[in-house]
Amino acid sequence: MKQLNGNWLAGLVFGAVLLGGCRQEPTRWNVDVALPLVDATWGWDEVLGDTLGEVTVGTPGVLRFQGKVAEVALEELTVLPDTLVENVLSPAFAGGPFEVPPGAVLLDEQQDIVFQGIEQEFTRMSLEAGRIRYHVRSKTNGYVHLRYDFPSVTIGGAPVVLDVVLPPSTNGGDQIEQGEIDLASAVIDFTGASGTEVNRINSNLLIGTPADIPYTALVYGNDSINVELLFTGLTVRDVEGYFGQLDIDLNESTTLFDPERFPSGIVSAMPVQADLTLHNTMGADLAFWIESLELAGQAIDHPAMGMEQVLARADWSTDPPAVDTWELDLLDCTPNVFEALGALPADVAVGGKLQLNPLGDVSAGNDYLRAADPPYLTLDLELPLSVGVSGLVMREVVTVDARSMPGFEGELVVRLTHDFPVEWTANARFVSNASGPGPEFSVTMPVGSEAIEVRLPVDAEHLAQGGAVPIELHLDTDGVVPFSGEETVRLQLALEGQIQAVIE
Amino acid sequence: MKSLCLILALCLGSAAFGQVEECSYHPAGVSYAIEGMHRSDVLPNGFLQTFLVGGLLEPIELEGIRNRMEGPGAGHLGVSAGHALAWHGLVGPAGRVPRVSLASRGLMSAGVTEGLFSLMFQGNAPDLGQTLNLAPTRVRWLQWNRLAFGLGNADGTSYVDVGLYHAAWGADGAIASGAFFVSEGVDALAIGLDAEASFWDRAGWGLGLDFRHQWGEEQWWALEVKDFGVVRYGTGERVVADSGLVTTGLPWSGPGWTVEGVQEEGFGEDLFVRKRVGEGWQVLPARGTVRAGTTWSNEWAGEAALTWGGWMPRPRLDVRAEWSPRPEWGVELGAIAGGWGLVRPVVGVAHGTANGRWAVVWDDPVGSFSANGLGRGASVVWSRNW
Repeated sequence: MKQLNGNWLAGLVFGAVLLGGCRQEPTRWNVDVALPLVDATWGWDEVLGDTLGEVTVGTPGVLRFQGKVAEVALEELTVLPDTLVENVLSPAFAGGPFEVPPGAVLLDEQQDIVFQGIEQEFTRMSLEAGRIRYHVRSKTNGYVHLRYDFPSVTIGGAPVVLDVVLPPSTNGGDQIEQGEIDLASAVIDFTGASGTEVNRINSNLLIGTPADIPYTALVYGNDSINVELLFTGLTVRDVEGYFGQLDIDLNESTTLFDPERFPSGIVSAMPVQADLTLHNTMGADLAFWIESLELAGQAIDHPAMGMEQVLARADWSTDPPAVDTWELDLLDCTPNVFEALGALPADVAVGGKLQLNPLGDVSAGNDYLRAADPPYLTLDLELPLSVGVSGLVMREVVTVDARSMPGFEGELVVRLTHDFPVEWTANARFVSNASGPGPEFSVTMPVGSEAIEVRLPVDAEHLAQGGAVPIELHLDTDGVVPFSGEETVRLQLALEGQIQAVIE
Repeated sequence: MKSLCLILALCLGSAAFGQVEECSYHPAGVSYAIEGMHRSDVLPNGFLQTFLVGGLLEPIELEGIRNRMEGPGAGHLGVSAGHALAWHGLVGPAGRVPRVSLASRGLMSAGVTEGLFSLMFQGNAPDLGQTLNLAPTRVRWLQWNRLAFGLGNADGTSYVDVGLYHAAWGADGAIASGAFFVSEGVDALAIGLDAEASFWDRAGWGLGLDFRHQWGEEQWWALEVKDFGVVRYGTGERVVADSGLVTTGLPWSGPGWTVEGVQEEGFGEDLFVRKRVGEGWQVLPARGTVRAGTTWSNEWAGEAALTWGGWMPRPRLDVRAEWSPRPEWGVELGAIAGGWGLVRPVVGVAHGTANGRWAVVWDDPVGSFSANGLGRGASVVWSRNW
């Protein structure tokens, strides 16, 4: 106790020396902060958005866009419907019980499991994913051994087997065993037990009493053993067979220029090469018709439009496989498709259809598809960056998330830098979630200008509620201007102001 | 009578500068001493008063502190307080005197770089384009109790005490390396921090030694060592931060160092590691002193002492002259330099009779009352025959 008092006294003296009294009010001081928040640079690479295109720097620079732009979806060939198989074993007598010794076989049956809902005639496939869900139920007063062999389904060369032992049911209740078998990477022979069928797999079901358990089962006439198998989630890695004369609609549309981001403007730039090529990587013949092409509702015509085009099957016996292609020169479109694109259309729509095996089963059931290599479209574009721009408006909205900075008062500094050989005009404002839009600031960024700053007043309340900074860029060129391909626009946000620090 | 003067001088010497634990003469006696002080080379009393009591820390005051830190690049603050009860017995057969003392003391020592002070109290905006060094920075705090037994000579000028230490609470935080930089255009930020802080919240026990030996009487010098020992501290918590960031601006969204990420709950947990730590050893804030003195006459004496250690950032030199105008009264006037503070005066007064004595020493009597003073402190020693 004395020591405790000593501690208290020392602490009291310690505090008294330091404090000279109790806290009477919060301690406050002002801290001037200046912190960079965001640094984003957009160049031609960012405009392209992926790895398909590259810009060769020059006067002017040249944009080359060479690569895959779309793939033909063939879900009918790559996703199999679920198939349910059910087996029920019931004694062919009434009454009982009959004694069944260990090691007895009650059922030994070869079955072809037929996969339903498949219009094609598959003979072999390997799976990317899939599983067998099984549910085995016994009402027998004895141990039940169930073995389901699937010699047509192998994983790593080993056949898939379901092997289950159920204990005796008690008081007439059910003994149940259920689970899943993963079929990822499984290879399936779809020719059945005969080896000449399609869409079916060979299996063998054996039901009996386990030989290694010395238990004599008592079987009544109303006993039963049920086996349910569900083949589900089967997706294909590659598949063989006859795919049939499958028709696929080609009515596709996609967004090009978001009107919210590009509300107005015309960009004129003309490529020297623009080839669209369809590659048939499938081991099946392919016919297609392009019936319409529309940019924001404006019809584009081409001499090949409406005509049937046939691509021969790919030969997968060579590496790489020999692939048939068909090429469309976009520069032959009427009106010129790139003039239409220069008006920044909101969307593009293609109408047409594809058909597999237009000549029927010419391969005697030897069509082949590798799911990772479906037929695809490539674009080969070479576009000199000599661009004229008229009344182009681009909008970008930067969200300012809510943050707690008590006592802050200052500015959100928006700094824009660019090295485009044209003059930009930028408008920006801070739109608070709490108080709505603030005053708008407008700046002009001449060619070769230093960074342009817009300072938007913000305070703790603004920051606590968050908001957004909509930025609008206006661009006009005097005729066609050559761009080097190295031009960038840089947006930086910084926070500058004062925070009142408080210790309560 | 001369011995009374010497005892008064000893009292003053003991009372001054935190040497608080005993002031007595023979025969057997008991002493009680209490002291407290805070001292800095940059932080004025007004700043500490406002910081702890409340109010607005004025920018001009913060700028003044920073200006004082510019030369050395750092500022220091020391705070200590304690009290002690001591007893000594009669002279034994071999001329030895048994001694017992019970003391409690708390000590805090802080050293902060100019960069860290500026970042905390002024923000980074005034230093755009300059690197703010955050290291070396260290803050230590220890509070302990001590029960000591020892033997001394008849005059109390030489002794050895062995103390059992009970360390009630301690903390130690340091930034080993660290820097903060924002470019002049506010378009680049670089932060690096390698810091560690330990807090132990369970009492620890240890052993320590106090030692003093004096050679000579009228012209003398002495060697003193205080709190030389270690304690085995209890379990506690350690926080380690080793983080760096170089950016020209954070991306808006995504995990980690993004504007979105830094606002998410738990973000800071990635920046440091917090863990419970087991027992460990803590060296006590030992300090050593070389002291020399002379007695010019019955009324006049002088003394100088050089002390180092005790978590002080620099050695401390104190010199003083003592005057006893009457046999039962003594006064002293001196100066102290170093330690946590700058040069400042010190005054003291002592009174003694055949049965009892007291002494008061006042560190920086002028600065103590000024908001611009750099600290204040006082020691009081009282003793009487047993």
